[in-house]
Amino acid sequence: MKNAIEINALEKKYDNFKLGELNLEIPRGLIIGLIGENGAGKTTLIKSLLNIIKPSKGKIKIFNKDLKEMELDIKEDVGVVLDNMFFQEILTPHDINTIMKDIYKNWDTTLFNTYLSEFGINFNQTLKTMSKGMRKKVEIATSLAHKPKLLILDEPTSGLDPVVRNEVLEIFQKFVSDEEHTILFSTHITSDLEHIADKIIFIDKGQIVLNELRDEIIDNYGILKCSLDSFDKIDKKDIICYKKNKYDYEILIYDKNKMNKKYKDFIVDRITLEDLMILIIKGEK
Amino acid sequence: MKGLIKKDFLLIKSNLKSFIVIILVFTLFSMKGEGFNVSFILPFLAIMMFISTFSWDEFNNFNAYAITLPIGRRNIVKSKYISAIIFIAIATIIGLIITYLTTILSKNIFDIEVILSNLFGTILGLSIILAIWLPIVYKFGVEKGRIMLFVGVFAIVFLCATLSKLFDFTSLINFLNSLDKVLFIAIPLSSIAIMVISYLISVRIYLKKEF
Repeated sequence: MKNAIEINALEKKYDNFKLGELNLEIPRGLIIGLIGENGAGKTTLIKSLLNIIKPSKGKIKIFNKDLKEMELDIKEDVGVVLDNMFFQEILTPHDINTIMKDIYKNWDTTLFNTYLSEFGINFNQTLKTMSKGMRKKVEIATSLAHKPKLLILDEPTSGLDPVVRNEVLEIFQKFVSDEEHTILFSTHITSDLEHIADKIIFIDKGQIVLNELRDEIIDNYGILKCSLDSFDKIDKKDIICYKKNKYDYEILIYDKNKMNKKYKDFIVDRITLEDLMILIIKGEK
Repeated sequence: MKGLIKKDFLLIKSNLKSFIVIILVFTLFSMKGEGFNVSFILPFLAIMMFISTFSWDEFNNFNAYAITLPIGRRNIVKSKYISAIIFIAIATIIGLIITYLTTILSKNIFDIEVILSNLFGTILGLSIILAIWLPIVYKFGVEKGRIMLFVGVFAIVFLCATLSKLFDFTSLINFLNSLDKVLFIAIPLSSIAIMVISYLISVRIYLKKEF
């Protein structure tokens, strides 16, 4: 089994938004970062993978099993964190353990307790008295305690302070370290992905605009900066897209080394995922 | 599925204390007053508790999360119906015990037949309310469901009141009374039948639902 998830001609239509048609393979053993603006279709994609919403058409396979036919079987091996808080706030971590051990076959109370202790969380404290970060940690511990093979996380780090965010990202890295486990992780905090993602999938207006290894993105893409009057000196076919600022142009280019040689008079900057995202969304062609 | 039923019980844990106080107050009333019976009140309290579990699920977005668990939509709905039945059953048993104790204490006669027939009436009424309410909640959510429940109950009460003014139901009531023994079996059976039909409708709604 090479892929954790295979998506075939997936489409979901709403009155004012359409996701797809998407074809996508998510390889096993990697951390995949799903990025895009709010409303680009990240959550729609994630909800389709979990059957929370029903796609208009297309096929989804997880662990090489058809989602429609073997949904429950698949879900035994998937851990989930959704973007909104999703446990009733009057419950305690202790209650969650009581509930979950009857839901997942592989639920491991000891493992759950270990995570909570690591996070410094009190078992008998109700969720409503916890901070947002602590609640997120309880949710993450819950998503890991049945030893899933795949984690599907919708904005798991949003609203967390930098220290907690780092802790959480470390846990994710530990989770994939055995190369069997996969994480699909949506976020608009692109700096998180620069630390941990192996591969980036970029969704815009319901379409995949980029699906590449992070290192290749960082190595190959670049931003060429030029003044307002020298813009015409740049070969049009080298420009993927550009953004006009007050004093200069920022131009997204591919094959940084070649461009460096070609345009010796200009500066080609390293790109961050955030620059890339802004240029692709806001830039002109 | 067992996990979700446990969850419903854990959710009412926090307001259990206030319910115990309410039950005690009603018990005192029933010992003082006449014709007032705790065994009616308790199943109604159970329903209120049950409805509160729906509010919590919706308020904290648990419904979408439940779909991601290896339970299945059909079993998610089933667990709610089972929770409802267990809530009502427990309330009924507690009600009967309290009634029994209070009647003994106040040296009255414990007329099991009268109490049971009252109770059966209550349970039938509650099953009808639940059977209508649950599919509505699955379709429209708790808030709209609550409003519809109010409107519905008022409409039924109003309708019955109007009808009883227009027509004479004495013969119908007498006829039903003559069926005493039959009703003892017929009422629980029809309660079950109503709930099963309601469950099937709810499942149909829930299978298509998106969150």
